Amino acid sequence: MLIKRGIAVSPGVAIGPAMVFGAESYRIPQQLISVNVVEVELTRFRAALEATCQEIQLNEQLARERLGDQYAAIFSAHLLLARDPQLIEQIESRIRQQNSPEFAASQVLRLYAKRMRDLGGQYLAERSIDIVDLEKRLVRNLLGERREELSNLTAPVLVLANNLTPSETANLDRKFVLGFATEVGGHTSHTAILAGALELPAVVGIGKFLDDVSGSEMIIIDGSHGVVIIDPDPDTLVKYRDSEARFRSHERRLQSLRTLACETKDGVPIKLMGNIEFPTEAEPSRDKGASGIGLYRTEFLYLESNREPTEDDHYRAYCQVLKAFPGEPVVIRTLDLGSDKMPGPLRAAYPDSVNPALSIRSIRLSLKHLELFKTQVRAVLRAAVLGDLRIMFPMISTLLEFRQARMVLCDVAEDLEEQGVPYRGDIPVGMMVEVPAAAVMAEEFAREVDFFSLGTNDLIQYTLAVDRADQAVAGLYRSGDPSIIRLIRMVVEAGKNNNIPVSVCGQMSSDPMFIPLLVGLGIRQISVTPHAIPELKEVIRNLTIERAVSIAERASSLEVARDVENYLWGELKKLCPESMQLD
Amino acid sequence: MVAASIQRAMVTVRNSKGLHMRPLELIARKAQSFRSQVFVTRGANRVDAKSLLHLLTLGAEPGMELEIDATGDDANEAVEQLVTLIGSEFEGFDRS
Repeated sequence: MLIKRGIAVSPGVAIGPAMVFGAESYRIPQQLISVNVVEVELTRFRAALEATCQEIQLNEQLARERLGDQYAAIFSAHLLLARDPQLIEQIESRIRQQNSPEFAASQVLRLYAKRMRDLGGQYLAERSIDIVDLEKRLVRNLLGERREELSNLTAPVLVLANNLTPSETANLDRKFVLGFATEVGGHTSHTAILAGALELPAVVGIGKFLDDVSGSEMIIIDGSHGVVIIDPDPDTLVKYRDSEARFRSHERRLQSLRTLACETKDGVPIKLMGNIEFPTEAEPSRDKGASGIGLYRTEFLYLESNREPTEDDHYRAYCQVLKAFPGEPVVIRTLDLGSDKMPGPLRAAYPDSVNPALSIRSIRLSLKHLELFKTQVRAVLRAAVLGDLRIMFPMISTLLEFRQARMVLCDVAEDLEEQGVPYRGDIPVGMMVEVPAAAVMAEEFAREVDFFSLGTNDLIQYTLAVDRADQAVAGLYRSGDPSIIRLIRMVVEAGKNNNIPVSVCGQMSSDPMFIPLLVGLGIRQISVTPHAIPELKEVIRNLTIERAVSIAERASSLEVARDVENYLWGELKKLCPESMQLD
Repeated sequence: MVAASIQRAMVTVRNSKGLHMRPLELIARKAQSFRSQVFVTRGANRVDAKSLLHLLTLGAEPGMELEIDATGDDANEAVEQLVTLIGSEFEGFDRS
């Protein structure tokens, strides 16, 4: 049994066989073989071994011709490893015990690789890579064309990968993929966000661990606590089966809240909306109880395909989301691309920035590439005919920027008017408040914008000067920092003074602990990852405005993030004792 | 049949880099040239001298004492030649 820890990004427990997925990875289709094919499988193993040896010999020859004897020697040692009598004996003995050759080879070689790493010393650690390489070659030769892909699964698996792209995550077959775990990634990565939307238990940012898994072993993914257990012992398995069952019953209880109104105990309605990235997430959000979409990220259109999306691509995507929410607001956030995520054609124009977060991104990019921006805005104005569509600009830092963006919108509306294309010109135009400068100037902004949406992820990053994805400083990223509370208060005040709505759409609002604080500060609209909605609704229904205000006041009087968070955590426990039992 | 006689001998690792891939490869190849079973022991770890994988797990550093033992009809020669090899400087093979 091996326990690995990472970042919990999507709650729940999944138990099942591992499937290792990666650029040059493979899945071992079956662990066990029946007794009457043992001889056949032994023959298959020997043939694959022979093919592997031939590959190595070829490499040896090439190395000798091109690089000289000294380098060829590396492969002569590899060949000796492949023909190692102990190795062959152990693999064959496992096959005789009805292990599939792929599984047997992989297990035995990984055992050796691990033993070498465990012995310590850099030299052996490096040699263990040679063993892993041999394993890959051998298993690849065994699998031949039988290599399986994520797309054609036929049995339930837990996907383990170095990384999953957002599109890979979105396309995971929920019938067969029970959960996933990745070596890289953080809280706010798109993959993490999608995992939550798909309600797949997921752990990311585990660090290197795939070398310890061959595929097909039993795995437990505990997405609530960020734990992955490889090859669990029977006691652990029982414990987790139990917690899996409890999690499900907790989910059912929350689901039963779905039809109940989202209002405080004293009857003040709080609007809970969904954050989505893909149009396909719209319906599941509604099913979770979302009354509208408070943040529709539109970047996926650019990152998914190599070609630039057309106006109609945008239009179709927006219509699909609107269809799921008739009569309810859907807030489109215009392109939030940047130097780390740059659409293909622009990549060459902006070489890697030293400091992507402070570079050309988001609205800055849109305003510099008007053709890109206008295409999207046209689609928004056209789709707005069909429902309560709203638009907001991300990362606005100055009034001038907002005015420029709004001007583009007016230009586009004029064009549509001239061309006789149906559109809606009086669409509400809002902005994200995620740059501290905008929060400080909220009063001035509030006179010109139709609504504010607090993007806490970036607001915290810029206010505390912390990149949450950077391991070295991630601990300094604190949603409960007094500076953040103060900025939120300023924005809420500005909204109130000018009679415009203020919502919160960052990750902070998905954490139930912050709900009483936000409501107490005067927030009445919250947009969150859809899977968090039921839990937040429960918190809201247990809360009175009076209580929320007193919680917010007390929290505002504390001087450091730790004290704020401890206090809020304690209050949440008092509000929702039932939910807390889950931990 | 006569009980197979076990031959043993001690040897000290002499080459300056310890027993890395190349020297170990030569040792394994040498061991494989005998019919006898040949083992190398360091402390509690006794491994098959014909297995490069197992030899790697010895982690033999310069100055370490190893025991060679062999069982079989050519056990004498096996021990003798392996002692000579392991005790040598592995000149020209220290690179890897």
